[in-house]
Amino acid sequence: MRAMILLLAVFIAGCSSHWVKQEESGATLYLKARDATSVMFYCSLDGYTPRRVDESRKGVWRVVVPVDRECRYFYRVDGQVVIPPSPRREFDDFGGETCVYSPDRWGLGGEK
Amino acid sequence: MKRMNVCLVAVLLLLGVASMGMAEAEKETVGERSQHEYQWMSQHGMDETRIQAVVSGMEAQGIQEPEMDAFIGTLRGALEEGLPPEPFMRKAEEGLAKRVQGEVMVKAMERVRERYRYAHAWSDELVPDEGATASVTEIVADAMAAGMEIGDLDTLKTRLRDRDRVKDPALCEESALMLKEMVQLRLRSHTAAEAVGAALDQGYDTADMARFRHMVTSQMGQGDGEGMMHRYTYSIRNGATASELGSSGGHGNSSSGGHSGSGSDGGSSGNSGSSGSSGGNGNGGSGNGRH
Repeated sequence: MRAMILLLAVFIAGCSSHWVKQEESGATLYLKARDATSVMFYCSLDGYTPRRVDESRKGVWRVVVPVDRECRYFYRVDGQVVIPPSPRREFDDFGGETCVYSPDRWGLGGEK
Repeated sequence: MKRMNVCLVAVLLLLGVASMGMAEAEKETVGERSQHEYQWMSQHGMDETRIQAVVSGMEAQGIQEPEMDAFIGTLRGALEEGLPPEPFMRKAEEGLAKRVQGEVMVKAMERVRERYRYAHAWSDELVPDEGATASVTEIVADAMAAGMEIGDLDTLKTRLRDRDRVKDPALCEESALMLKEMVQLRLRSHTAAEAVGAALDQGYDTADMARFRHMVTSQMGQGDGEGMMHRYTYSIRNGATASELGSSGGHGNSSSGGHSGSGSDGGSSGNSGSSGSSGGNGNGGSGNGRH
């Protein structure tokens, strides 16, 4: 059962891709999770309070963070923690990683 | 016989009431102790409501009292050492959001404490001004969280100290920032330290270091990040100035003259606009497997 859950988590993470669009009004983080029914977003800026993420188009989920503040974040896709591949990351001290958003325009690695 | 039964029931009732009373008293003691801890922490700069919310969250997740005590103990110890409370709260909130077990949470808090203890000592030695120390501490701790190793930081501290007998907080901060960005972008600790060390040996000042940093971050994610950094380090060791680096570095794309920093938007030259999925376009993917 545990192995199945792990496989499922890996599968979900493997299917997700992730990119960032930085605009004056905010940095929009996009997550591709095709078969997801619910996506929650957790960010260090608000004490990792869960935020429901909107589906901007089929299978693409979108959330906006302040453009000018560095933060750490991760997602829960259908209840499973998902750390999508992102240009910046750090170890989370719990045995995994966490995505890092940096306002540095040179270091973003996504769309500008 | 009947009288004996009545007595027995009475004794049992009394025992029951007494044990309930004791449990209640114990609860009050725990409550009072927590209250004292919260007040003490709040006097040391911690947001009392926030710590109470974290503790409630831990209780709700079924984290046991010994682990809760260990958590509070680590927090208290960190504050006694003069470490900032914010990173600890952030880590606890992240742990709650990820629903980690109590034991894992306590270990994570200890790691944060070790990191900040080291980062604080590192910056305290190099940066005289208290305000700047806090900023450099944060950057160095972030670099460590992303995989920067103590041995490499020690080497760089010696280089910065030897090179700069008159302390230069701005150069220390910029060097730390460079390290942090490199390891966050998945370069190995040693590769990042070698590059910054070469720049320091070559006499790069704060503006040069910032230019170097921006150049590297703009080119990350376009292939072999490790290889690119090795080429940059080689060029610097062979005398390349910051403005000459563009032609010698990874992709021959000298970006941006501007330094200083983050926050602004647009206007960058170079090759920042790589769009679409940033996912996994892994800049050399050194994977830097620590922790």
